[in-house]
Amino acid sequence: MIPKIFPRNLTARAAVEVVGNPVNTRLESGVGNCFPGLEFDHRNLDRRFFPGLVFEFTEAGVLLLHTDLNDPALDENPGVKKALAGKTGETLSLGSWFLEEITQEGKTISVPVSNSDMAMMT
Amino acid sequence: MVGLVTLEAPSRPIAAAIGASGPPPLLHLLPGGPPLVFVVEGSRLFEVDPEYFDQLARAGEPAGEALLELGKRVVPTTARSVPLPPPNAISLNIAHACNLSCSYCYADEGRFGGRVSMMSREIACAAIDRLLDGVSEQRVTVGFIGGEPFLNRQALYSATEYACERAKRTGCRVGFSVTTNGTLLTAQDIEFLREHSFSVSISLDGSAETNDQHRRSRNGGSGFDMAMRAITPLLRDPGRARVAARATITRQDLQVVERVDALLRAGFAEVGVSPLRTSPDAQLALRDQDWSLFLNEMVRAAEVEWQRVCDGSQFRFSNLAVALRQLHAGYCKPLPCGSAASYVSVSARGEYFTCHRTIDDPRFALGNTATGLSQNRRENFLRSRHVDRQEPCRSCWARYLCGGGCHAEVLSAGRSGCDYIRGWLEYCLRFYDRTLRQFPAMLDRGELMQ
Repeated sequence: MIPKIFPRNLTARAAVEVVGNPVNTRLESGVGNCFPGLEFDHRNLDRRFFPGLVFEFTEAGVLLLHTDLNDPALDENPGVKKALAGKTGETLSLGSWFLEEITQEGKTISVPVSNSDMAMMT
Repeated sequence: MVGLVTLEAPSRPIAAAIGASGPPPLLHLLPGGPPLVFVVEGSRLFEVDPEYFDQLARAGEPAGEALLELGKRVVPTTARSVPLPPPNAISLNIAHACNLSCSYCYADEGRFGGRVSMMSREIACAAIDRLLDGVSEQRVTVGFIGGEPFLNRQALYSATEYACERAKRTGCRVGFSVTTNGTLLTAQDIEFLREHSFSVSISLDGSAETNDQHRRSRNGGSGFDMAMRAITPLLRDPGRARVAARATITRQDLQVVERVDALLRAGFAEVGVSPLRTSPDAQLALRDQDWSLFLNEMVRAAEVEWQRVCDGSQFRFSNLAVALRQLHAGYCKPLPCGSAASYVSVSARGEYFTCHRTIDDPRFALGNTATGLSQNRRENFLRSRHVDRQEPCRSCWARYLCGGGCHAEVLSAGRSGCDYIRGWLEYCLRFYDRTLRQFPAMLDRGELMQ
């Protein structure tokens, strides 16, 4: 039986990890009307745009935070799930991985990565 | 150059070298109801179902896997190696002298075992320069302490003005504090304190009768009357200043509620108390048998505070308010205070010490304002004082809430009153849970005194 555990103070609440996007992706976390022309920080929108991978947008680039085998999106991608549970997942768990390019239907978008910062983080 | 101080828990051989017995506790089950479990790493508080609580009570930590597993997702603050930045707060012992003659004074009536001396403007400014040289675009604090700081009024005024001007040039914000007996404050001083938004801590022990048992002038005059005459205009209209009373409790009179009430009636918005652990007169310091009585007094004062808050008042008893704020945020500290880390103290002669309690004690010396603060000494001091390097602290569930006790007191007189600290923390954890249920917004909106 799984015990019922209710976090009380702030550090206890921070320790409970839920599957899904973090609270700072909610609409109310947008910068709103404080900065005209910058009504919403799109980097907050989604950290889970690839099944099983969680990213963080940092000054150094788009950093792979960790893999998540419990991601419901993996149920529709059993091949990816298998890869993440195996050698690919193991490789991704070593060192720091940054997203450099996204390719879709023949089009490639480059994502800038700061080399000096990356060196600091590895 | 900024060095590194390793604040992570000592390695196994070091733990063995300090005579550690068994692994440090990871969980603490709080007595009473509802069933609350305190997880030591990260200072996390959980409520669990009663069956699980009983299982934890029977089987101990092996049954706590589900709780401890949650903690693995958080890097505990005690386990991080953090760079040791320059301090962002200093206190200037502007006057090694005092006009009162308090029986329990740790500072030997301000002289710290030496002769009466006053800090020069040059030394005060040199210490301020060193403080501001080490930081940029942040908030720093300059505190004035003694003895009685207002015995060296001109240096206090000019150091404050110099710090404001110097901070403006460096893009820093500077805050000021002063600890005073209040007896020498003039109308001009009060205006100055308001103008510079000082945090003013007035040392008073309670009612006139209670206070004057130990706090009298050299000719026997009432310290209470002298202080109240001078500070009443400040209490009535603090302006931008913030005024709090701090009462010392000796073993001759352990009452807390009566002291707090008397000082609130006198017009203070905040009152804190501090038990006397070391004293030149050994008859006054609390002894082993006194701590349980003192705990009862603290709990009594906290229950009175609960009633006050239920009646719509703000928190006034600062010992309780500070504990609640820290428990809410999950403070988890490997050291008891900022001493030698974010805060250092400067003697009248311009020598650095770990804090205002250790002035002129060579064990706590950290260099001087002429040649600068010794980074090595700071790092060595902090490394040696890590709570995981102390016994019995290492085996205590409350080690990261307490931090191991005041360095000055522990190194001078050893540890006493650990059961009191644990008892008070258990009570505060329960009080926190009660506040969270009844006034949740008060904690989240930060309505506890800052």
